[in-house]
Amino acid sequence: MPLGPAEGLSFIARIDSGGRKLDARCDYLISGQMPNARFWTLSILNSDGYIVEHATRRYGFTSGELLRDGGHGFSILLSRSARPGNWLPIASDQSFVLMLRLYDSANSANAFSLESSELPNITRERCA
Amino acid sequence: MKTRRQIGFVPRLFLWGLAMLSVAGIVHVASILIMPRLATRDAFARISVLAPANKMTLIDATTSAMSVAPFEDPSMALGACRFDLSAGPLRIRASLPPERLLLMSFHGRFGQLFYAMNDRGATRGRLEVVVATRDQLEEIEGRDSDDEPPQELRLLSPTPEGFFIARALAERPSLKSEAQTRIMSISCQTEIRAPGN
Repeated sequence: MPLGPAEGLSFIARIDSGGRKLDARCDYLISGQMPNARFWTLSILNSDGYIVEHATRRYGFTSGELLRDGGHGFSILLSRSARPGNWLPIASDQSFVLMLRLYDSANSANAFSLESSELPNITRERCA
Repeated sequence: MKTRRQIGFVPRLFLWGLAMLSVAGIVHVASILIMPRLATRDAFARISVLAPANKMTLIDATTSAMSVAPFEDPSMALGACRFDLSAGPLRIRASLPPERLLLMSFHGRFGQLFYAMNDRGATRGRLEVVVATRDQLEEIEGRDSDDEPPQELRLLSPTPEGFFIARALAERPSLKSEAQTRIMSISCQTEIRAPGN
């Protein structure tokens, strides 16, 4: 169910910043800036929009729990195997999607006011 | 000898074709327009299976078997209250702790959003919302006294049935049960007035 204007904005990524489909066999680095919002969450879902159970029970990060690199920037590592830092496990076998939600954001009334350069980058690293 | 009213075979065939096409077109457009209302797996139908009317119910939106809709945020605890205004207006009462994100949305029978707000809409941590039909709203307004402005938010529901969705953010996975408690502390009940009141 879509969010109302007073609730927030949702973004979905099916491809990386290079335009390639998100692939469960690859590692990804999500980094950069986050648009201004009271809270944000970034979560991983299968292409049908549901979680794939994982032993860590971690399916995303919220703005309140991220280990930061000192400044405003952040990085999250997506991988099938455990990684140091903000590790988001990939439990899906094939493709997956990333959802970004900006809750109670100043941009809520107008999603088109956001440039794609203001959203984090999804960089593909090594693939199995 | 031909009368002027007669139409030749080919133009007649063409006219029949045209008539058939327009009927087919009307049926096609009408069925597309009516489809969301007839689909048995719409959000309201799924909530009806999971949640009784006029009661807050926790929903696990992250797995397909128990979900109301896909692409929900796994960091959120989600609760739904299906309402039926036939017995009276719905009153929602919540007390909201500060700096804890809570989102609330109000939907009609066909899932259409008619109001959305977040916890910052509360006054001194308290929130009171009345959802009513047009007739019920008029009756409520008729009881208002001039020196005491109403303390509640009043919403007109586009349909007598609908649903209310509350989402509470768990900032860490360990706070999920705290978020669920915040959802379940919201009361969502039919307001039944004693006659003569």
